[in-house]
Amino acid sequence: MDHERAQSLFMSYHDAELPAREVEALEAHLAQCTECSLAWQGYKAAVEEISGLLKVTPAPDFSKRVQQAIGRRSRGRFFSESSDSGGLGIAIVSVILVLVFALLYLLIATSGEVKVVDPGASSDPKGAASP
Amino acid sequence: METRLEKKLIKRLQAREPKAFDQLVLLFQGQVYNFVFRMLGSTAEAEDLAQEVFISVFKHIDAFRGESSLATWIYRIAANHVKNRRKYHGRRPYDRPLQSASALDPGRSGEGAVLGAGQVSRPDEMVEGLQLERILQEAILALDEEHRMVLVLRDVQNESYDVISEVTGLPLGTVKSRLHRARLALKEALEERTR
Repeated sequence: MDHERAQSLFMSYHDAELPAREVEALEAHLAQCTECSLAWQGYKAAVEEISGLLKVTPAPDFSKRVQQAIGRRSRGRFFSESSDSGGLGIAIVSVILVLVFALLYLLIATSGEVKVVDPGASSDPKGAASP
Repeated sequence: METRLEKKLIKRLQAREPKAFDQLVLLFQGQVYNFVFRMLGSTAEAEDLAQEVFISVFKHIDAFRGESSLATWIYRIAANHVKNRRKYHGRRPYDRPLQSASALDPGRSGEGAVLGAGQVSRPDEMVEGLQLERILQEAILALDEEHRMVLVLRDVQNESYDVISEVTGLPLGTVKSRLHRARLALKEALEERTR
């Protein structure tokens, strides 16, 4: 086995994906070749160092900030109301508003009836009898 | 491939359940954040981009067909964002603020910064660790993007070759040859810096 061939097998060797016969051949080469042995040590160390890198995590309020960003960008329309407790609140407010409008309508209608009846009946009692 | 739990979560996400979104972010934030940080080398960029990744996930969740796992799909979105960000910086002068994870705030653990893979108790070991961390991050950033992506996914994120192939859209053989070249380049860079 030459140096180039030996070093091209490093990855499969490291991942334990090399067939047994090639493992044997590579290990025999590494045992007698200082250049490839040093290259293998360096390769293995580099992979180990990088695998041991610190895991970076976001701040604890990251998820909250993502939701806020989505809410801002969609102007609050992104999340469904049905699954949220806010949905119930909006339903209650809607019912109250409908009731208020119905009450106002009834009041206006009632006061309108009084106006139609009252002028003829009470403000000009004489006029009613004049013709 | 989707698991039953994943299917359930996706249904809830597609129904726009805020709690499901919260769950999704908590589940994948570490993976996404660490990936974009290692690809870009800046926490400010990582914070911003990780947020963009999740916003894209939420925007396009209806288009998720379950042909890959949710994790792979999210990685693909993250990889596209990283590429676009790099292109954006390529068009504009950008003084990359290189940061090693531990240099951010060595006293803080977990919160917006680091969770030590190997804890160090002695100050001299800590300084050595910080230097090595910086050297490694510099060496990663010195790789071209294609090699860096494969290296970060495999050796930092510990993903399988199949996942990497799906995320990058590269055949398995290309993934392996790129990883081998990336590792060799990293080894050279490390040997040069520690000489």
